[in-house]
Amino acid sequence: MTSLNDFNAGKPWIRPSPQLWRMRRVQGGIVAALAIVAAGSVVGIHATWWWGLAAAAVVFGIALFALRALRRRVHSWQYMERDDDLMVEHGVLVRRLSVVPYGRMQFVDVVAGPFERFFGLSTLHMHTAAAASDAVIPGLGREEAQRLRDALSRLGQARSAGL
Amino acid sequence: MSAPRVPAVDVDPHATTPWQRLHPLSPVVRAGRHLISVAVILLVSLVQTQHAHGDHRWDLMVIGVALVLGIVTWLITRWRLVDGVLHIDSGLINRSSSRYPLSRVQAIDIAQSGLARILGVAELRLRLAGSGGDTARLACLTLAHATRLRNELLAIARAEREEGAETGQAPGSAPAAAPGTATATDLGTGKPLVVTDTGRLIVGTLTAGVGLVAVILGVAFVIGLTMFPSAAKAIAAGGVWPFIGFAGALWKRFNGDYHLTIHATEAGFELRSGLVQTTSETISRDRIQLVRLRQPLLWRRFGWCRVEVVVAGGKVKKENRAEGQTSRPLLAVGRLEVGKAIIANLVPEAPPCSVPAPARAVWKAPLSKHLLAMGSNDLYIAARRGRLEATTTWVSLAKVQSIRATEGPVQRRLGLTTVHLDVAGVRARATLQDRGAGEALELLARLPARCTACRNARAAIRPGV
Repeated sequence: MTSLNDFNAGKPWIRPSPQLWRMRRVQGGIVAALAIVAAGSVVGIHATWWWGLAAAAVVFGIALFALRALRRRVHSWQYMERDDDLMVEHGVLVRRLSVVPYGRMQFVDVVAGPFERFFGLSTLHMHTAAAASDAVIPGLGREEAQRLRDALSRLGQARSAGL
Repeated sequence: MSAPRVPAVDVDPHATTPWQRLHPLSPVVRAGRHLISVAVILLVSLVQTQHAHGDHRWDLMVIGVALVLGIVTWLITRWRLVDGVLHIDSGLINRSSSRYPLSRVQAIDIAQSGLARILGVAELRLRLAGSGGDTARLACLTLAHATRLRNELLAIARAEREEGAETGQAPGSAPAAAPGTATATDLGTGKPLVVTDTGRLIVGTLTAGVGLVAVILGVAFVIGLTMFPSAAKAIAAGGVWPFIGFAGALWKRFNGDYHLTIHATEAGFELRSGLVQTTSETISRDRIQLVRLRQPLLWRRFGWCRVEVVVAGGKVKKENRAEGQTSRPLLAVGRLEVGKAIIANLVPEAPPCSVPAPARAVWKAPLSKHLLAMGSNDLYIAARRGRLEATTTWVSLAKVQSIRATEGPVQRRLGLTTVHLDVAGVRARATLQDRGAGEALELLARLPARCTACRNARAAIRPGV
């Protein structure tokens, strides 16, 4: 059966930095650890300690599963700079592909939160006049994000068109 | 915002235009908005708790504070026109001094609330081009003054634009060249294209969408009251709030569409509508992003339809109906032939939705499969979808901002993909729902280049638009 994954755009896809998965793993791990401790202690206090241990084990299992799903999601991001447009694809369960022509770009911004800064990453947002089309690429290395931002704004200026 | 053009030597007589105030009644009109909501709340609290009298001082105080604030706002708001630039100073705590270059004006609307109509004043709104979709507002002026000023501003705006296009002329010399002459074409004076029939509008409002739900609930309500008279009080108390909500929504819709009259103008259309609160606005063809034909289930029986256009202009304050939404009806309720004629006018050679979605789409969208279809030609894409209400959307390929494809798990199993063509706006798009995956891939491969070609062709005809 054909699907979006079969789309042949003529160029190789570029994937975000491997640091992105490292960052997401740390973030997920922190959340998971908190959930395990919370579940274990709450059940342990209200019932007996082995029930608490069992609850912690169950949450640990769920967390392992969730981390695997997270890994697939993180690795699903990919983008491609074509001659006239930028393509971004992501999603595991629901696959989403967007094509944003450079000429339609209103502005590009690069954002880095505290976690991202620690891992040397940035997220790039491409804005058009259509609210739905705002293309996002997370987990770009700092130099790559800057290069992409400059390249996109240059191309956007060169091919800009009105509404 | 581009910097306003200022002449090098200040010789223009308009440069010394004195500051002007708004109409002294404007605080009353502004407070009137709160007055209505306060009155509704008062009414409901009276209905619900009939013995709790006397404590309406708070409500009165709210009105009083709003009135005082309004008067202060009026005192510190002033405006003037200098060299084709509208200056508005306002704000008590955040002092703002805005400059609106008239060369960037896209449209000028006149709006009147019910109270404003009684008092004979009107609000003037200037929509400006730009990513923010800025709106300059002068609330309120006398109606005659507002109309005069609008014509004057439109004439200046046109002069500024022409001057900008021709170049070579000294900036600032042309404004207000002939305020009286060019206005006749801007105000639709001839025979209107469409006038909405009130009877049809009433029937139409009650047989589609919110109106239909309200009617069904109302019938259920009456049946409940007659079947269980003992519980009448509880049912009545429970029914008041939803009833008010529905009534408000229906009223807004009805008032917005009441006697909707469309005139063709030089650049586009002029829309006038309203029973209590009236608005008059102009839409230029260039600003139209997509055209939508709506056919609710029951309307299809009657052979009726609604035609809407979505207009460019980003986030605007949601203070008033006419601004809050970017879609405007060109035909509120009308016969299908009329709707089709309007669409043919807006979208020359509109492609029909002739290619239905593959038969297997019925497993993913059983309720809407019978409506899913698309059509296309060199310039436009048409998409139809919906469950009870058939919605057909036409989008010009030259206006497409981005193309997106989504594929959920069920769709992947069935080999289906949904393709969206976004245009400027919040939820403005044509959705080609549940196309075959192979077909969708072909669309994704071909459409970007076709959109670019259309855009470039359009830019070549109208540079700078």
